Amino acid sequence: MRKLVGVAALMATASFAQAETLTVELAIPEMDTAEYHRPYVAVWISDDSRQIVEHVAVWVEKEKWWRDMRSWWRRGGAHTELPIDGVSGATKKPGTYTVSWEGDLPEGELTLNVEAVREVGGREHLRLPLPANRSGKVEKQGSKELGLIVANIAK
Amino acid sequence: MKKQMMVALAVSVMGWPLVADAHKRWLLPTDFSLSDAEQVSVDFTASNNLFYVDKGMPADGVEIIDPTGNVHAPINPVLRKRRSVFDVDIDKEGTYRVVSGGKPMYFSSYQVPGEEKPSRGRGALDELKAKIPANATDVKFSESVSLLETYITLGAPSKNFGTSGQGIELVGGAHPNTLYADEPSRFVFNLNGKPAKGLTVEVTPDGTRYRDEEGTVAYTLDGKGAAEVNWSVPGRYLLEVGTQVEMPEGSEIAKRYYSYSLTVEVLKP
Repeated sequence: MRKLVGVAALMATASFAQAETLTVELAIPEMDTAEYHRPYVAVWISDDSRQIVEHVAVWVEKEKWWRDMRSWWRRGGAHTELPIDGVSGATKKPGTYTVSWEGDLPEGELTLNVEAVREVGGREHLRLPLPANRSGKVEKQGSKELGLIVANIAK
Repeated sequence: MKKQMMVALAVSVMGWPLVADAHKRWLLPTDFSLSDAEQVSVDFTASNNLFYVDKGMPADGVEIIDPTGNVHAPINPVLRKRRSVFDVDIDKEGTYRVVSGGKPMYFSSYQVPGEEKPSRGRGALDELKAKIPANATDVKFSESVSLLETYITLGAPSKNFGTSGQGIELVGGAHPNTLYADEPSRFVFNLNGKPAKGLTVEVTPDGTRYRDEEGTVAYTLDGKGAAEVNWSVPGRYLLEVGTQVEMPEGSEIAKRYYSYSLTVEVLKP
């Protein structure tokens, strides 16, 4: 028993010291619609109380509509000053994009969130729970405003 | 019935005839949460159905308390038969509170010998007293404190709860601009500056016109004046708290009426 506790403590120390790398591949689907506007997209990591712990990507235009990414905005976007270096940028046309993030993630249950909202279009918010050991691949297929999301996390 | 009487009285405060109807009164902004400085329009009405304008309410007494505590008047108020609307400048970071009422109003009722019905008056207590004829009998005074509120936030929410200590007030718990349909939200109310324990908060979702029931869910406030509200669907809701207190025999004020209403928006997660 004592030995187990010792090992656990050692593992905890080790995981604290190592930075995580997160790579997210996300697809913005083509839309067959007369009036098309590029979606506003936010990618972030949230904790078990759903609050934002890290912003991974924020693709936006007019400030007035930032709040339409309702989850991102109210879970922490509203508390954030944009631009965020290496994270925020302009909206993107349909296609597949890769964004990455590197740093120390806090302990506990974490979720990768991808939210997309399009003017005169819809909204979609996908949630991908990250592996507890902070290592591996998670993916989820969007159904409307988002295509396939593939996230790789490694220490 | 209790509630009907209370609402009727509260409506009469705003210049409506004293009739026993049960209209809800509410302030409904076009937006509750903003990411850029904008003007927001607010409907102010009494209606049975939520949220359909029915009887426009005068915006004279409406105040807007900005995140720094400064008080502003409504902009461009328009009063029509069915609809009353005004604008609010939301240009400072933080939470604005739009309020109507909240200050005590007084009512008198007395019988003049020979008159068929009792006479009634409303206004300041001193003025009411001065108007009572010397030969009047059954002289009664009552007090009403009725507060209507809604909250609007630009950027990050800030704390801007009422602090008058008069009547029923929302004083803590969840921030009214950060509510999600799948998360219970705690609301804390005071009555005259003390926890409003034992009172009931009634929560009604938007769209009563398109369902067969009101859909109101009532929660009893605990010892701290708090209740945890569960939302059924995303959308706009009206929260109402009300009570009336009979004062002991011989008191100058025979009865005190208190009411509170709050409009909130609840988001889809």
